[in-house]
Amino acid sequence: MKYRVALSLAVALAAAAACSQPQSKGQYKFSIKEALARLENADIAGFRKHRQCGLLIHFYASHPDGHSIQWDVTSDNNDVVNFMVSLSPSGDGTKATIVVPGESGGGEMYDSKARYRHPGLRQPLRPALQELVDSAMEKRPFSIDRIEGDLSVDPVCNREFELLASGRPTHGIADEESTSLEDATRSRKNESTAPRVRRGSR
Amino acid sequence: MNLNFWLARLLFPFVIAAGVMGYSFMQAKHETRDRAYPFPVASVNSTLDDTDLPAMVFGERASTARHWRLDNATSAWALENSEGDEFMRLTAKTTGDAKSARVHYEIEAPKGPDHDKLEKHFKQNSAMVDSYKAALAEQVDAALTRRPFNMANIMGAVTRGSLSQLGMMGATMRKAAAGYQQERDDNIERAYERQSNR
Repeated sequence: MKYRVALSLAVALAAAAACSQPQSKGQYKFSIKEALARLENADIAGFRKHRQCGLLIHFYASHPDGHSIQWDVTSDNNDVVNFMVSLSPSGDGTKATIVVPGESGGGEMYDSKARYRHPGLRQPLRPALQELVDSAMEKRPFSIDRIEGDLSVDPVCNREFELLASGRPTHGIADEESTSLEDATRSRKNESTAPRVRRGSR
Repeated sequence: MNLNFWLARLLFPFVIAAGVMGYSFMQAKHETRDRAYPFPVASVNSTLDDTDLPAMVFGERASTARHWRLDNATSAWALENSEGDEFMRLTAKTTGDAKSARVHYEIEAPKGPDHDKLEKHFKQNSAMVDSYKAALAEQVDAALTRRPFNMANIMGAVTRGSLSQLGMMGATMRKAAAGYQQERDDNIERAYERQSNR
């Protein structure tokens, strides 16, 4: 009798474990249409909060075609980076492929090897994008704790984020590296800074 | 239930607390030790000059700290109050040659009218001072070994520093930390609002 109970428990545990097995990375058990709808509601605000540096950045969503969504990230009307999630059928579900533009010296933009005068996002970008996609597909907020792999240290990003978080003036993306913060702020105030009107800004 | 049972139950929390304190004390000693690296001393000096204090421990003071090279062997970071008066100086002193280097960390009271008062304060709060020293050592170690700053590596010193400040901890600290985080979030939101109103 004891063995029968133990066996039943073992079977139940194995079944529960099998049910809770995560799907393969980037594979989701619903249609492209549903996946696209979920990506449109991705937690971009949470992503920005946890992954921004010191630049004020804006995300603009667009659909290059019927099975992709692209976000253009800008700062002071200058392009920072863009990334696309392309959806394709896979088995009885959908596969999501993240596309990040290449860097001129090789590799991808914001892949931890790239260095920027005023970075717009924390590196590496790709694992954070994977969590952005996963969280959207699972209809939950973006969680920094679920990002896989090592998060590199970018002293410039950390320094500029501290300025922003402490309420002090920060650099603009077009500021020269050698420009003092005071000069840069003064110069930006004199510029026409009407925000570019684009759809889907968050 | 005999007397020994109740005595054991009463003593158990104290034994655990003593164990935690003993362990953190030993770890803190380890975390604030000199570090040796198989890199040329010039390269270690260059990394030191590029390293900021860790924001995770020093908060916004990490970005406002003055950082400069004191002499050929010493890099210094100065924490200043809102009036610009230095109240704590952290130094990293290197020795070595073209093959290897050793880094020694110190925290000093800066010269000036408050020197004696600050020095006394540091002596009375040596555990807290050690946690700052360990944090800087970890930040530099992370930069030299190309990995992210890891709070877990300085938990001994931080725990010991925290235990020494038990009176200030608890609900007040949690409230202050939450308020601090909220203030930072608000600052960021305000920056976006200011931009959209321009």
